Order: sequence, then structure tokens, then C-alpha cells
Amino acid sequence: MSERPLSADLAAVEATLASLVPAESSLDRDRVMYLAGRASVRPAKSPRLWQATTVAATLAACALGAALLGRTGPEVVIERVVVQPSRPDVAHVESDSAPLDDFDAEAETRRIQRTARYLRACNMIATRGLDAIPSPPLPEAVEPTPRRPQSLRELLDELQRKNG
Amino acid sequence: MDANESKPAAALGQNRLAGLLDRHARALELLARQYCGCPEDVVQESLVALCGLATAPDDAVGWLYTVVRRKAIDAARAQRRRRHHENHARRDGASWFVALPEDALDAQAAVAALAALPEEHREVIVARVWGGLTFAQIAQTLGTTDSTAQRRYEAALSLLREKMRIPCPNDR
Repeated sequence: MSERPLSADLAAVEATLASLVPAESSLDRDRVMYLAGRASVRPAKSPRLWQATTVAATLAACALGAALLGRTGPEVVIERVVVQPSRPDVAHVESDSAPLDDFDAEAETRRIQRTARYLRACNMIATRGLDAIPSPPLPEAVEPTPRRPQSLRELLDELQRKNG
Repeated sequence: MDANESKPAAALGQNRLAGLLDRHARALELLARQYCGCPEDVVQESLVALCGLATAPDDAVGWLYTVVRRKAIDAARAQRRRRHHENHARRDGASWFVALPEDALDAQAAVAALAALPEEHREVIVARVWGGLTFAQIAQTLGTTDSTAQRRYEAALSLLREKMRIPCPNDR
């Protein structure tokens, strides 16, 4: 906008006022320059960021608090199940009695003894370690097989020895 | 009005800040003194705030006057809250202007006349006469329009002429 020129009388007042010089500034110039330089190095952070962060954190805290207060324990569902006792199946019992006729008491005894030995060995290993296992019996000494003659001369010597 | 004074704060080096300080510190303090009793603190805070801006204002001078005015008003409110009475010190005008020779305009009379003006007129006078701002900058500072700023200025000058009895040049 273009400024309107002042009338003569107002211009005179303006000129008179302009002759007044404002008092000397009481600012500490060095301090202002120092503070301004420091402020220019560390630009002011946007307060909106802090506000948004604060609001978000507050909302999250409120939501979690409400969830914590409104939380209920695991829902217990009680279901009544009536179990009817089953009647014994007579036919089945009769069929089960059939294998008893072929029952081999000795074989069953051996099987039980093997199982018992196995369980004892397991128990011994568990309590005393592998060293507790008795060493297996050494195989009986076997006579070495006679060495077969490898040459004609050895064959003749062998025959002479046998015939005296 | 120095057009070069309106530069981004990114280019507001030490020299530019020193120039702003030398050119406008007195007027800024005078403006702040219209509202509060701690004008130097207000001006200092505003200058520091200007240098701390991440993005610079287009018009650093206009920005300064706007911020100084706002901070001075805030400071005056804080002072009133603290002391619960009007700060008369800002109105005594003892230190508003440099003492003048006896034949020049009486500084005390000028201060008295200024202090008697309505606040909206006083701030326009200070910003225009001693701050050297354009009416556009004054309008931005006061949050009004250019024409309103100019109308207030003319009205304030008329009131001052009556109070100080400055003769019209045509009457001489």
C-alpha cells in the first residue's frame, strides 16, 4: 500500500518527535551476542514434537491403565459330563479266555527274568555308572589251528614229522 | 528503511545481528518500555529467539518488533500478577529519551504527552518515529491493516500536537 503523505502540521510534529533520541540501550551487548550465538548453534526444537510425544504417551498410558483395570481372569467353563459306566461285554470276556490255553509258563518266566536283569542293569548304571557293569566272560581259549605248509619243503617236513 | 535488514536468520551472522542491535535496540527498548518495566530483558530475549529460529522470518525487523511487543505485554501481565499493582515506573518517562539542549523540545513534555496517549496510538508512534518501520510492518506488528496503522499514526500525531502545543508551520 502506498503511504499517504502527511499534512504539513503533522509532518512538523513528526519531525519534532524525531529530534528526540531514545535513551541509550541498557542491553549488555556482549551478553546478547553470546546468547544469540549459542542459540544459533542450538536451534530451538519444535515444541510440537514434544507436545505430540507427550500426548501420545499419555494416551497410551491411559489405554493401558484402562485395559489393566478392566482385565478379567481367564474364563472358567464348567461343563458337566455324565459318564455312564459301561457294562462288561460277556462275549469279549469269553474270547479273551481262549489264549490262556496256549499260555507257556516257562517262556513267560524267562521273559520276566530277562526283563528283570535288564532293569537291574539299568538301575546299576544309573546309580553306580558304567564301571559297575561286570565284564563279560572271556571266550574260551581256542587252540590255534595248525599252520598249513606253504611250500613243498614244508609239506615234506610235516609228513616226516607225522610219520616219525 | 533498510531493505537489507530483512534477511533470513540463516544469513543472520554476527555482523547482521550487531547491525540490528545498533540500529534498533533503542527503539525496541522504547517500544517495550511502553508496556513493561524490564524492556532490556524483553529485547534480549527477542534477539536471542530470532537467532534460535530454525527458519528465518522474511522480515527480521518486523518480526523483532512483533515479538518484542508480545513479550513486553506478557512481561507486564506477569509483573501485574506478581505485584498486584500497576507499574508506574514505566510511565514516569524519566529515562525514555536522551536529555536535550534547553532550546530543543522538552523531553519531559514529550514523554508526558506520549504517556497520555492511548496505547494503540503510542505504539504506532514509537514504531514509526523511532523504529523507522513502514506502515505495512507496523500493521504486521500490531495485527491490523496498513490503513488502520496509518490512521492511528495520524490521529496520534494530532493528539500530540495539541498536547505539546507544537505550532503549525503555516501559523508561523
